[in-house]
Amino acid sequence: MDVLVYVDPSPRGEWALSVAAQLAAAGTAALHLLATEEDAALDPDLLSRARARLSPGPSVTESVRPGPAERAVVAEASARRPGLVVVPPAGRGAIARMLKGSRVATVVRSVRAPVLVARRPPERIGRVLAALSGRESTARVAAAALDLERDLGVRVAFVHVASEVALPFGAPPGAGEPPSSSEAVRRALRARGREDALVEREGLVIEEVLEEFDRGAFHLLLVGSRGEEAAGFGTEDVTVRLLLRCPGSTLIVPRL
Amino acid sequence: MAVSGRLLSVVAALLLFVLALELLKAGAGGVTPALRGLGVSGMAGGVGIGWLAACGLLSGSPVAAIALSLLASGALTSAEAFGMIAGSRLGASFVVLLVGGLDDLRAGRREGRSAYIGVAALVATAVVYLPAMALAWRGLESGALTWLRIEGRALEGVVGTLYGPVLSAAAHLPRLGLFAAGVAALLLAFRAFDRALPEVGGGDRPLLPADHVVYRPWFMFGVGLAVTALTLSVSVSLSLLVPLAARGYVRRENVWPYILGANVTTLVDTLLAGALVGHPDAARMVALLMAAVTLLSLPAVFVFPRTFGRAIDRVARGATTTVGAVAAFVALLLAVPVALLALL
Repeated sequence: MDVLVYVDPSPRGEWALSVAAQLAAAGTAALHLLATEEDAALDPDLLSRARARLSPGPSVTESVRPGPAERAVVAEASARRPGLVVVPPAGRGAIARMLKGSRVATVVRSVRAPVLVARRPPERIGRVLAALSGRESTARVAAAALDLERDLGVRVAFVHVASEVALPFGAPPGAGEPPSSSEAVRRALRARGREDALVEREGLVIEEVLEEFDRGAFHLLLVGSRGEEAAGFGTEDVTVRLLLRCPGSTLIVPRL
Repeated sequence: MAVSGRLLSVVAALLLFVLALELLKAGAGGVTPALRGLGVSGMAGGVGIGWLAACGLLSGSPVAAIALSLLASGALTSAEAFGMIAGSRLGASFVVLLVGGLDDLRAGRREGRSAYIGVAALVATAVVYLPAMALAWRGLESGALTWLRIEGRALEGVVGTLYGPVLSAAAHLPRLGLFAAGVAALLLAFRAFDRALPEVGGGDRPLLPADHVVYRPWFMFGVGLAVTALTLSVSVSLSLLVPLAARGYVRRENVWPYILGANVTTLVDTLLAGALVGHPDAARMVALLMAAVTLLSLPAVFVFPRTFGRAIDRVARGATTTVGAVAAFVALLLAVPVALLALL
């Protein structure tokens, strides 16, 4: 798998390099390091230091592109079509995000590859939580989580949050069971023999997923990309909200 | 129903609404002893009777209109009428809870899934309305919005032209009977308003897929404002979500901002009643309450929506874990207005 790693000159850049090093150590990745021209001009050793951080490992290539970072990453990803993009968060606060936008959100929305937003990764990512919505992305996220389990030897758990509630006299009589999203998740995991790894919660989706992530001391959260939530004007981008608020790393599995 | 039929329903509803207010004012003296006997005294008593009356009539809007009529006739003081209007809103949310609980029993659910919306509605309403009452009352006492004072004589000509002979004839009837006729006319007026509403849903795709899409809080707040401005009632507005959302479910994230929006515009008809009853402070009182409710809802929607939503969800989930928990919550809350009437 070809992995594109954005090398950020800030201390957060180490987070992305740490994840990249783990991927390289697992022997599953060929790495490509990317820096912006502006950062490389300010710190000519930036890429060589990053390369040294990763060695010994598989093939590591590098390139520079004009900034800002999100534009460079999107352009490089369009040109190389990597199997995974690894970026650290820009560390912008709410006001800065309002004015300049979110770097990781821009990358996630613009790149067709899976995007791993590296945030405070441990020395070894060992516990992965995959959030399943019960809709179109469920099969993809479950498959991506099980691929990680096979390739990196991580332990995967799944969470589904049922946030639907019945409107008074809206549901047909006898509708005692939860809505179909829960059943869709169970069905998807049953087909993969992993129904036992499912945690079902009720409540507000973002809060419950983050609470489960915290409770299980997970290192990496897997979520599907916006797709099914993109119902148009006024909708919440649950994926971006999760990746902005998750205290650990987040892997966004894109639409096909 | 054709557009002309709907327009006719609106006109009939407005005419009935005006007649109802006049009958209520004329008959107010008949219920004054009963109100005093029930312990309606001061703002807390007003909240209590407004809450219970909304439960009895299964809607808050007629109760708020009745409160203003009683104010205009002198049967209630400003504080009592103000409390009754706010109490009617709490009672209307309580009705949503009761209906939800009944739906859970009917559907044979072990958990209070439908009751969740009722608890969320009641808690969101109480959290906003109680401080809003204090804020609006302060505004009323300090003379805010005095330009909204509408003197009774400004309307006398119009009402006299419309209903002069009817009201003259009715003056000979027992006042309690007049009051009952006023309540009946008011309920008919609201039914006529409902009949004028366009039919929603029924297509292949839901208009508002609130059962699987998480909307931004400001969007659902806007939808709640708009839908309830048309339906005039929180419970009717919530029932409209059924055809809108198509599947009979709604995501929890979408519930509380919708309720907050609905809580503002559900007072639109009360504002109209305030302008029509002929008491100088009636419209001002309602406008101040609307302004305070809006002012206190906006931070929850725009500044700390996550915290507010999480708090409402926690309470609603806790109160609806079992049908027994819902029953206990209902009993506890029913005791509140009774206590307000009995103790204060």
